[in-house]
Amino acid sequence: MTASVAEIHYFIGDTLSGRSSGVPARTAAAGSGELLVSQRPKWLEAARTRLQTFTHLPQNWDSYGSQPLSWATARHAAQLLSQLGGFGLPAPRLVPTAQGGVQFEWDVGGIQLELELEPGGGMLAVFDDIHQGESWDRELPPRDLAPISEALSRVVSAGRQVLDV
Amino acid sequence: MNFSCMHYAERHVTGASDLPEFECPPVVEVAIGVQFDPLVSLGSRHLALLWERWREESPLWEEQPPLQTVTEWLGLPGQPSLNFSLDLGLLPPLRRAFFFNPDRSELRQVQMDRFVRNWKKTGNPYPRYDDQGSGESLSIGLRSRFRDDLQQFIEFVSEQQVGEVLPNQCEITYVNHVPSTGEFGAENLADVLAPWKGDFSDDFLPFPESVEIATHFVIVDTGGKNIGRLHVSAAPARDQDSGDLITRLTLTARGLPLGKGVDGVLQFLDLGRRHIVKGFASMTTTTMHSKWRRK
Repeated sequence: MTASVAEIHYFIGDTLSGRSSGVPARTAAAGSGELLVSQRPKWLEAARTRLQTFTHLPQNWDSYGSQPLSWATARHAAQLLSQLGGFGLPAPRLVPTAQGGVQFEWDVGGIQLELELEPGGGMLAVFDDIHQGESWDRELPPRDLAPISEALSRVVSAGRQVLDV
Repeated sequence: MNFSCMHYAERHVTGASDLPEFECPPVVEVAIGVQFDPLVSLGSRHLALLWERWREESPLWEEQPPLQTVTEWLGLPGQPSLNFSLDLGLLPPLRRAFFFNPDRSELRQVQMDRFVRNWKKTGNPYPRYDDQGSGESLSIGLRSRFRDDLQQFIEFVSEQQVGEVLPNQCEITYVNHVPSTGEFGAENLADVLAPWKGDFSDDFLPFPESVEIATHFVIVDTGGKNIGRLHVSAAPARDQDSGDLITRLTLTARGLPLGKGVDGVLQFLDLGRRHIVKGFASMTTTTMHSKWRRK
C-alpha cells in the first residue's frame, strides 16, 4: 500500500455512530468566512452547469442516433472533475459523446489531452505533446488515472506556464 | 469507558486465518454498503413496498437526506476532496430510507443509488463479519446479513421493474472508540496511534489541545492493479452514551467491485475488511494491542 494525504470523504456519511454516539468534541474554526485562497478552482461551477445540460439533451441530439449523458456517468464525471480540480488542472472543455458519455479536453501550451468517460464506466485517453513529439492513445482501467498521471501533471505544468506568461 | 470483549477477526472465514485477532477490540459500529448506478424510477412508493418486506425485522422507518455519490478515483495521489455533485432531476431527490430494528442496533439504508447495512454496539454481542458455528449454534455474521439483504433488494428492484442494480463502488467501515485519558485526547494519542509521535521542531507551541489525523492508502490487488483506498481517521470525540472522552478511530475501505453482481461486491468487501483489520493493527500501538488482548 502507498500512503497519500488528503481529506477523507465519506461514502456512508453519517453512520449510526455518527448519529448517536461519538460526537466530535471540537469543530474546526471557521471564523474567517470565505477564504481568498481556495482549493476549489473557479471553473468548477461552470463545468458543473455544463455537465448538467448534457443530461437534458434530447435523444438523437446530433441527428446520428446519439444518447444524452446518462445520470450515472454524469455523477462520476462530476466527482472526477472535482478530483482533477484539486489536482490543479486548468479548465477542461467538456464535450458530450454520441454514446451518452462525456469527454474532457485540454489544449494548453502545446499539450493536448482528451479523456473520455464512457457510459459503461470505461475510459479512453488521447495525448499529444507537440514539443516532445509524443503521441499516444490508451484505454484506462476503471476509475484509475494512474496510467495518465504523468500526462495530467504535464497539463498542470503547461497551464501554470501559460498563467506565468 | 466500559466495553465488553468481542472478537474482531475470525479464524475460519473467507481465507482470513492470518488476520490479527483481539479479544477486546474497541469496535462500536460496522457499516457495509454498495453504491450502484442511479435507479431513476425508484420512488417513495417502492420504498414503502420494500419496507413491508423488512418490516418485521426493521419496524422503525425514518427518512434522511440522500448521500452524495462518492467514487474513488485512483492514480492522483494527495489531491483534496472537493464537495461537488450534480442535481440531475426535475423532482427533489428521493430521500434515504432508514429501516431500524427495534433496539436500533441494526440499520438498513436505501436510496436511489445506495444500499448500506449497519450494525451498532448497544450491549449486544458483536455478530462478527463471518458466520460462526454450525447447525443450531449457527450465528449469522454481518457479511451474510448484508449479502442476503442485497440479494433481496436486487430481486425487489427487478420485480418492480425500476431498473437494474449495477454496483460501481463498495464500502466497509469499522468505527472504534478508544478511551482518552487527557482532555480531548491529544495527551494519549501517541499511546494509541503508532504513527503519531507528537514531536515539534522547537518549544514554541504547547502540547496540542486536540489532534485529528487522516491517512489514506491505495489498495492494490495481487496483480498490482489499483482497486480502492483504505481511509483511516482519528479524531477526538465524546461518547454520547457514557459522556466519556474518546478517540474515534474510523477505518473505511472503498473501491471497485471485483466482478459482476453480488459476488463481485462481496469480493471487494472481503478484501477491504482484510485491509481494515490488518490496518487497524498497523495503525495502533502494541501497548493498545495488549489492552485489547491481541492473540
